[in-house]
Amino acid sequence: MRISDLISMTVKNLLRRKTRTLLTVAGVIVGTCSIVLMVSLGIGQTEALEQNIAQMGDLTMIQIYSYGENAETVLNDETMQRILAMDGVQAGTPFYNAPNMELKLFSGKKDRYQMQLWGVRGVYADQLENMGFNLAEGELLPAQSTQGGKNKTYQMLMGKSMVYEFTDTKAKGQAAYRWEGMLDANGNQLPPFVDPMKDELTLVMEHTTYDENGTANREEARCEVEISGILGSKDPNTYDENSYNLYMDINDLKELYEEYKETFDIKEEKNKKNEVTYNNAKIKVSDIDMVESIDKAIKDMGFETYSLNSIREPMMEQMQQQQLFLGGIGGISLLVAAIGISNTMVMSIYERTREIGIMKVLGCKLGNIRSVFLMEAGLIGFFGGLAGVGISYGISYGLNYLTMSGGALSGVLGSMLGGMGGGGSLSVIPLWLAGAAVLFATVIGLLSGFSPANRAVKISALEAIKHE
Amino acid sequence: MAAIIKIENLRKVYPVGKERIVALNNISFDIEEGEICCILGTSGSGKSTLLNQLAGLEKPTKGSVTIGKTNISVLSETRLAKFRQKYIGFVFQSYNLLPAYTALENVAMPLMFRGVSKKKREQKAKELLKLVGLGKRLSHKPTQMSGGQQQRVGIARAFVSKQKIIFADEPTGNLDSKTTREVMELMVNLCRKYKETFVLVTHDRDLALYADRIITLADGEIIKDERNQSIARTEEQIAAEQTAMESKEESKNTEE
Ligand SMILES: Nc1ncnc2c1ncn2[C@@H]1O[C@H](COP(=O)(O)OP(=O)(O)OP(=O)(O)O)[C@@H](O)[C@H]1O
Ligand SMILES: [Mg+2]
Repeated sequence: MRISDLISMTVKNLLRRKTRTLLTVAGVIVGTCSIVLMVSLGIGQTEALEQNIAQMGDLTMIQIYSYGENAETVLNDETMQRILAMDGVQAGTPFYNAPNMELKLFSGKKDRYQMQLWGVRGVYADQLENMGFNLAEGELLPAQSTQGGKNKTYQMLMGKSMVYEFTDTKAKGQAAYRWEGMLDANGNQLPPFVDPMKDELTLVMEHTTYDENGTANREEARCEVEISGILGSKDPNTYDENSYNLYMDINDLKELYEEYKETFDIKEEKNKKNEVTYNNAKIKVSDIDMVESIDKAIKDMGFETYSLNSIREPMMEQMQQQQLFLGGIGGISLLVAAIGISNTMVMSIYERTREIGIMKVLGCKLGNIRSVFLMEAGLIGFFGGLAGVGISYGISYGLNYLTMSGGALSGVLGSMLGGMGGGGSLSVIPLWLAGAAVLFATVIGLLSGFSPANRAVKISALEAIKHE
Repeated sequence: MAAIIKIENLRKVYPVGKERIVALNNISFDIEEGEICCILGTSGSGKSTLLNQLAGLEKPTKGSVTIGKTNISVLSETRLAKFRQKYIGFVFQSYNLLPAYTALENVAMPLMFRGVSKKKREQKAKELLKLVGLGKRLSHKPTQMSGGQQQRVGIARAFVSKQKIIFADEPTGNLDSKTTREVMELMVNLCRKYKETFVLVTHDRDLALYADRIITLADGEIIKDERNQSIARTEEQIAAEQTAMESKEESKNTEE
């Protein structure tokens, strides 16, 4: 038999019992809808979660920590180079902290404006751009600050919010401070006391010692400093973790520390190997899919790590389980639909027993008889799946409309289904889900038709002809 | 002429409960190519059973049926289907047309199973339907036709693919005597025209007279195997009959 004849025969058979065919298809539609909608809710939730995590920071960043003196691997320039050489690591830098160094920034006439510098961190200047540091103003650190020696001008990167840390030593009370969003009497925003990109700054090193009587003895030394750029997002509403940080080139900072020790004659017991080690570092991975493997490789080196990805993974796993559960619930109704298809096929084979017998006697091949019944079942599944997906899109749109536009259901459904509130749709049907649903329904149809079709093949032609 | 069907020691036993009913008991005979053979017998004598064995619709308990060079008693269902598709046509007592299909589609069906294109097979079916006098009923469904008309569709279907052997079990069982004569003549003439072998099962002695050979069954055994002297016709007679039939068809077509 030709395929075109098989198809037209199949369609003809389906149209012969329109009501029954439609009811069976309706069963598949309900089944498909319930699976698709359940999964779409799961996907909506996952997407919302992804968005939320993405807002928490860069998912491709990995923080590296090295604890304990006797750890086999220490975080130093050598190990850092090894990490940077890993496949997929885009950029990275350790954070160097000079211990016990008191620094201040002075500006204005007679050092009117002053700021304490806590925790200036030394970084690999050449890595910052690839690390994705955002500049609100100016430039990133030049790779190595100009000439060495005593009279060198140190370069510094300052976080946007740090600028407000300058205080006015001439003022009393609240007037000595400025903070972001502070307004004057007319309601205008007040700028920080100092514009570090324009105003002259002085870096002040301080050291305090105490004599036997407990009297403090304060010494200070001054050096030149420039702020090369202000870190932070240009968009005032976006949080940027670097808004509160201060950075210097790692070698500059080490140099400054040596100068500090020399100036105030500080003796420091050197560690055994006489090398600089770091407590922590941060790297950026070029592809989010590689975060996990790189994270593991670094852990294998003996370091501790932290990345947003590491909290994302278990959350995603939980989400997937939830989706599977939701899909399973939907699956039950498709199972019922499958039983419906089987039932319909058995019924129609019973009705058509005589016809099948005649076809056999006329020389219709067994394979063709099987194909006709399988295709009938498959078509019921296919059309049911297709219509089901179409209707699911409609329902999905409706749900999203009702919940998004602040409609009556937004509160109720949103909280019931654990919607995350902020942006994103409650129900999302990606193309793969639509395709998979139609395919799945068709396969279910074929499977349900399998045993009835074999039954039709086994009918004895002679018995069938006698059958009334 | 060569034997086209060879029946050797054919035996069919039906187990019914604890009893065993011997429907056919050790039957042997040959049917020659182009022969019109009638199997005659009273009700329950085993005629239908014999025909079913010959057509491979049932497997014999013992013995074999050989058609051409093929022993069909040992063929699988799948091979049998192919074999029937090629060599065997059927006419049934109860017509057995497919109710959902038109006369044209019913007649074209054996060709469809063979994979003949729609255009070709419908052209062939139309030809046959005209030949049986139903040229104006192509698109009628079986329920829209009389018994005689339905049987003529059945006959057209049996002959459409030029099968070597036509089997008919009481083909006129549901028809009145006038229609019976028409249908019998139609079948016999088509067989002669296409040089086909025809095996007819009936309990009616009058119908047996259409055949070249009459095999009489009783209780599953052959009790008589005779040549039909009354219709030992000459070639000229056959030719005359054929022209008569064709003119009759034409007149019928104009009536309709
Ligand atoms: N499937 C069957 N199971 C049991 N017994 C059967 C079966 N088919 C036929 N018989 C028996 O075999 C015998 C022959 O039956 P068969 O149908 O061949 O008779 P027949 O000559 O065709 O009769 P009729 O003219 O009434 O059609 C009968 O006794 C019948 O009861
Ligand atoms: Mg009978």
